[in-house]
Amino acid sequence: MPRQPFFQTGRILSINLRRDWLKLLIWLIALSGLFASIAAKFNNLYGSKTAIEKITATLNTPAMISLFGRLPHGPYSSADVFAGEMTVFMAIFGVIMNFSLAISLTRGDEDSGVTELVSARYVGPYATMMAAINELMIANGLLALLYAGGLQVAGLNGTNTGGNLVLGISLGLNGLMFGLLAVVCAQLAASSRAATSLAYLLFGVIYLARMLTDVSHPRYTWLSPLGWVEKLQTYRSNNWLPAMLMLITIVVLMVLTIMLRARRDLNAGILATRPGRRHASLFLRGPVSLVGRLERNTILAWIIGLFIFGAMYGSVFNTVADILKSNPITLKLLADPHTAALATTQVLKSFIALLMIIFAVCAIIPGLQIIFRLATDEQRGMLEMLHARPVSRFRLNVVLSIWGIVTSVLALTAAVGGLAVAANMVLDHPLANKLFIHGLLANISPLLIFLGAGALLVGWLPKLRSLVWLYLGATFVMNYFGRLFDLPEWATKLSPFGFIGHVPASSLNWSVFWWQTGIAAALFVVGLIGYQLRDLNSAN
Amino acid sequence: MQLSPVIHVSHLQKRFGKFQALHDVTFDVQPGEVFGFIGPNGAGKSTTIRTLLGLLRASGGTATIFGKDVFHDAVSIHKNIAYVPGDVYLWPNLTGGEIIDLFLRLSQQRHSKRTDELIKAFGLDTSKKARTYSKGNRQKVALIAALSQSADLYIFDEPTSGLDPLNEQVFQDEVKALKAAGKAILLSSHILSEVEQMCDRIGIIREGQIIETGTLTEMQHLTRTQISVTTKSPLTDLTDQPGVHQLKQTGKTAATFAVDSEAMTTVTRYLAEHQILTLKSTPPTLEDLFLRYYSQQPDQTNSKTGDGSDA
Ligand SMILES: Nc1ncnc2c1ncn2[C@@H]1O[C@H](COP(=O)(O)OP(=O)(O)OP(=O)(O)O)[C@@H](O)[C@H]1O
Ligand SMILES: [Mg+2]
Repeated sequence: MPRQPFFQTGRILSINLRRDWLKLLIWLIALSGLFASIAAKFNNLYGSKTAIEKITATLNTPAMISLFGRLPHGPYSSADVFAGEMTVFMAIFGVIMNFSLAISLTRGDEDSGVTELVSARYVGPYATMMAAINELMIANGLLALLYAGGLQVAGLNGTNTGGNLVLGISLGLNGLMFGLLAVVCAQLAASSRAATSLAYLLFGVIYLARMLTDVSHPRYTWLSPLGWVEKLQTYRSNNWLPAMLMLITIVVLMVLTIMLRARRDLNAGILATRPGRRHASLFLRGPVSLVGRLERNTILAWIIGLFIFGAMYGSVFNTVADILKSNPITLKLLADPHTAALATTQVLKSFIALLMIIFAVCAIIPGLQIIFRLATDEQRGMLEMLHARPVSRFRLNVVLSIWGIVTSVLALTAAVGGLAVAANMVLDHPLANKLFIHGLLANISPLLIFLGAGALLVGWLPKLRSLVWLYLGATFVMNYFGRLFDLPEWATKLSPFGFIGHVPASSLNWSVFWWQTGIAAALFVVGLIGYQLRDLNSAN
Repeated sequence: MQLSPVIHVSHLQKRFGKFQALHDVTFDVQPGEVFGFIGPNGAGKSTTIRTLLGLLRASGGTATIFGKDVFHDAVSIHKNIAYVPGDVYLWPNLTGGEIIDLFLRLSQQRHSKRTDELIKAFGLDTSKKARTYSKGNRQKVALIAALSQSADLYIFDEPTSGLDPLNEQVFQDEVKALKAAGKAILLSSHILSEVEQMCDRIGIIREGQIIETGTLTEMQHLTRTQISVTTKSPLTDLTDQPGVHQLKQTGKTAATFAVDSEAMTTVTRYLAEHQILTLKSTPPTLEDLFLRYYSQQPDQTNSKTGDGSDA
């Protein structure tokens, strides 16, 4: 083995880039395109003083702060509104991109055996890992340039070059920092899936720390690495301190990764696998229990995770309700306690409606992953052995679909449950359970449509199944910004969530529920037919 | 052999998009018979087997197992067959023991004494997670599950490609026992000694086409036998004898050569006329047959066997 630990990193990097260029290109175009096109729209959307005042009043409500982070003090320009609305949001998307890239470059390649093949060549022991890190650097570096350049070109009122640079570069550094966090997770966990779960678990904690401190004690947001991007004072004093912090964290994580990599074998995690049982439990006897056994930890983690996620949002409901006291227009109405209570409930209802869609998007993820086992386990060669036994395609498809649906519905219920419990603990005037239940019910039919779309693609075109993720991502973007943008009617209707209204702020529409469930059922059935007719491929 | 065949494949075709993986595959497997399936890499062995398992949908021709259609009646067929693929992939966080039990239960069978015997014979640590198994160990999991299952048909696709010689021996013994018990077995393998020893009949497939089926003896008949001979009187005009190839004369009375099967009688008569002192005849091994078929280029296919023009 060569002496230099990183020998041949460059060559591996260029091979990887040749393989990954399309994926990288799609990510870069999607993220920078989203960023720049919104920036270009902002002079129109928030050009006038009144428009800016209106939007900043909304953004300064605790509900919006919990989602978008905190704005600096006024007065505001269009650029301030842009930075306030987009920074945390783009940071989150950067994290998703980096997790996906980092894990597939490290653990993913290891699981599929590519790393073993490459490492057997005349390359340094850390070369494959360093090539992965370099690729992350390139991706985030390009993204930073595209962000800063896009802002420069968009020419928002109130921007300056320093601000464009600090925002673009910090978003890039933030992405790289979380990418390295994922690389660290890849050393700890024993498979790419476990590494992804671990990374998102950590991210969940970091996100909640940002959210909670943002709403109550913004000073402590410094404690959450995701909060650093909020401290840039973009277009004000253009503070480079957060960027420095990120840089230091990146170096620390890099050293940590190398140390961890040195302590583990290829294809094994630091967290060792223990020997298990010699015989299957009585419970493990068919596809239903097999899926349960394989997915139980993931399902539990999602349910508990989303319950906590919901509860954390619920715990800020009293602050959200306080908005009425701080707003001079509504202050007058407060004299009448009845009107005040009504107004408070209205604000909370809208907030619940918005959160509900975010919860639903999250809850779809584990269910979709279970349904996608029909394609992923097929590619990894496990289904061949299963279908060679008397397990029909029909049965396996139905079993996985039902597990997927149950998991997603339970995960959404857990999130809503956490929200309801925590909210009613902190609120002086508890909200009726009916509000939460209606919110939950309204979101179930779009959730089913997404799962059905997954089942459809798995049945007919398993290679294109990632399109559902793309669609889910787009839905998330549209709804996260929600009403801030006044999207045209037709645009909201591109997603099944666009039809359900803002339950519980508006009333639950049963006819939408039924026709959407009907469409979802049709998607599942058509997918099932495809799965029964098509070739089942094997790993090789 | 007028019993109804266990596997009946007739003019089977399989196309993947534009690529035709199987052109014309025809063969039968009878009960109590070990059918060896050999052919170069990419010939279509696994594709044939996956079609037989109902995993792939045939583009043409028919295939039945136990008289039922392999695609439409897959589930009822699978109740009575056991299958071991060449590359075994298992759920990484289940143990070998759990997977063996699960597989048996899926086939409505249970972990028996025989299962334990097989686990012992193959020397598998069943408490380990599948993630940590080597290729050979993963294959053992599938083999144990398949062999401890009582089925009417066993399908093995290169089942020993990852096994060490000791375990390979265990496998061969088990297959012989299955055969003695009257089971039908379809065995695809690149280990020709294995096929030669165990198989009653052999099918050779190349580029999606079965080019030969028959017993080893029948196949040997189709090609030349290697002869080395010493005689009393000099073998002067041996070259002129029909059916003699690759002649090497080490002296006037000693020669080695290959002879076509159909010319055997005339050649031995000729040799006898010269008073044979020693005679050694070596029938072609499967390997000889194999190389002969494999090394042929497609444009040479009509010079298949024994026409002597390519000597
Ligand atoms: N899903 C598929 N799509 C396209 N081509 C395929 C597919 N599966 C197999 N093939 C092609 O069909 C041909 C036959 O493959 P098959 O796996 O049956 O060969 P094999 O005889 O089992 O070879 P080996 O001895 O290497 O196992 C190969 O050329 C292969 O590339
Ligand atoms: Mg094969």
